[in-house]
Amino acid sequence: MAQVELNKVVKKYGAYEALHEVDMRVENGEFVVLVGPSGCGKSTLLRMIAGLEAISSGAISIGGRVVNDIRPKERDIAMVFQSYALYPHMTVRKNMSFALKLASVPQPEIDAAVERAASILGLGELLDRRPKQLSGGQRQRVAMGRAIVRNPQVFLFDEPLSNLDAKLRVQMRAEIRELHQRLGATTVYVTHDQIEAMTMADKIVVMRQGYIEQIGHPLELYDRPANLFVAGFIGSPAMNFIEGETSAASPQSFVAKDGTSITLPAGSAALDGRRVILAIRPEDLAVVGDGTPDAFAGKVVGVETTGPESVILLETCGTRVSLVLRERASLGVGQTVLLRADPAKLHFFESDDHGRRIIM
Amino acid sequence: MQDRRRTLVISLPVALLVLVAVFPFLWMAVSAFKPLAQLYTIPPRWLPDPPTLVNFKTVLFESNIPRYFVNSLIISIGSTSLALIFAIFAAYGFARFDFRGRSAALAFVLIGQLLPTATVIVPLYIVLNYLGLINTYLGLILVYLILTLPLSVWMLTGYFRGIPKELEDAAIIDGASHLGVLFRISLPLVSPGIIAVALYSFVATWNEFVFALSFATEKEMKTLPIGLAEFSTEFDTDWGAVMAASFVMTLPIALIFLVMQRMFVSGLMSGATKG
Ligand SMILES: Nc1ncnc2c1ncn2[C@@H]1O[C@H](COP(=O)(O)OP(=O)(O)OP(=O)(O)O)[C@@H](O)[C@H]1O
Ligand SMILES: [Mg+2]
Repeated sequence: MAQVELNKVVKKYGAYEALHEVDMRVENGEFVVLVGPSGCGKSTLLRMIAGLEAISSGAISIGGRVVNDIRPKERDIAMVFQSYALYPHMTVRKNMSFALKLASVPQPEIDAAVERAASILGLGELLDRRPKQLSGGQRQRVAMGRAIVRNPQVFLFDEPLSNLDAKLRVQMRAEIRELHQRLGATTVYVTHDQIEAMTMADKIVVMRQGYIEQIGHPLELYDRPANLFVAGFIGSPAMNFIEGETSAASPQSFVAKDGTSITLPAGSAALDGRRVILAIRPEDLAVVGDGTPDAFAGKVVGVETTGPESVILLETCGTRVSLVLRERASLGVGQTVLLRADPAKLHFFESDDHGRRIIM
Repeated sequence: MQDRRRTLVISLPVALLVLVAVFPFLWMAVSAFKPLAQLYTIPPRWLPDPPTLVNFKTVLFESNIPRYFVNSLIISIGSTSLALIFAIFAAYGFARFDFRGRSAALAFVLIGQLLPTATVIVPLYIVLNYLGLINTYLGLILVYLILTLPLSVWMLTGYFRGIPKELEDAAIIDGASHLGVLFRISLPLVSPGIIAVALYSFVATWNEFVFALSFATEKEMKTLPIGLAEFSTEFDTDWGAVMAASFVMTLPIALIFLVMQRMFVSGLMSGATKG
């Protein structure tokens, strides 16, 4: 087992810089999820850890050893690819034993390792099939089997579930977590699905355009996003953003650009009359009855019901916001309702390009 | 009704095509078993009556054809093997490695193919003569590379490009070297391409005439296509023997196609990825 450390790692493709001085640390046995929109450099980062891409500058170390110039096979890592990348001309058994065979492991040991991995993943029946005779989920399992037979120090996953249907994805999510708990190997897992990140990670690394935006425990990212990007990326439905100003004269209120006033928690003096962006999670907004203090009006423009909960889309404060109701909604489109934002659950961000969180 | 009409629309041209393609071959096969007198009758006789093996006797026991057959075999197999070895490495390089001037080089490979054969005969003769390779197996084997290598490289490059990059990445992670990836993963997966290239190269060299005529002038070195011409003398052509010799010459090609046809496995790649 080993920790993985990235120190000012840069990746350049010609003149284009895909990763800018990335610093990151994965502790021994930790399950870290790299998440971010398409093209942000997640795969590139993972492939650099694997040794499939050269490092332009900086250092990557695995288990305390700098691996910049060390070939993939000597890094003691295993990788599961998005497309599974099973060798089509080999049976499942051969696929899984390929690495051990190349490493000249004695045949009885190979057989034992393959049997063990197959029983963990429930592949026993399939060992003599070719990849084309397997379903998508089974292929996915074989790809994981190929990784675990080697008993590597570090597991790398690049969007392993993105080709599966929704139900299977949820099931495999749990299986991968379980496997991690069982094997305890250090894991770096790439996904663009923030729900996958939230449910699986010990630690999430949010990336955008080659920069790391925030690193932290899933709930830490959820409760205290470091900037507007993370705030908008983590959580579904996404966090609501309302542009407006605070006034130095009355520090207790925030005025949105359409004039709607929202009451702030006591001690909001840190905002001292600046233009800011107020943010609130959809579940921290509530529909309230007439006469509730601090309420403001909104017009319903859409209702989406998933069964256990309903997402209400509203127009208010000069923008569109969403609100999650835990009960069946009896609201109709076009109706005007009163809303209240939980003052303790408000977030504030600078209204500049960086959109940093304002700490109060 | 619709279906039957569509079947007709498709099968009629196909039948026509097969007829045009197969008729000369059939005529050759049938003529090879005819006695001399029946070859010239008007109207033509379709079937030999009675069939005779005299033409084959002439070809197999009274001519140089067996020797030429062996020559052709050595030269075609030699040059096909050599072309395959070169083409595999060249094509893999073109398909997988990003180096300066790659596309220019790939285009340049084909330019050789565009030159008319006649333009290279004299320069080649001078070079081969200088190297002492006129009238040797090696001489023709090397010359035939000029003929077959460009297209072989192009075809195989396409096949190699069709292999998902992630497969090779996975093999590298599993601990394979670059050569290991080529031989254990990529090569087995392009075997339909290898078979196609081998067939193409074998057929092209087996039938080649102009180079063989120019560079293999001695009796011991001649190949089958040249040998066929020996049945024509100044005054007379022994058509029966020509047909029998052609039959002998066609046989290996037909056999190879029959055997290989089953090896053109389609969908060898399926299962590698999600699809
Ligand atoms: N071989 C390459 N040459 C040039 N640019 C590249 C190359 N590979 C990746 N890039 C660029 O680097 C950036 C990061 O790519 P990367 O594949 O790491 O994105 P990603 O975060 O994995 O995206 P996705 O979620 O779509 O897989 C992209 O802008 C991409 O265009
Ligand atoms: Mg990617």
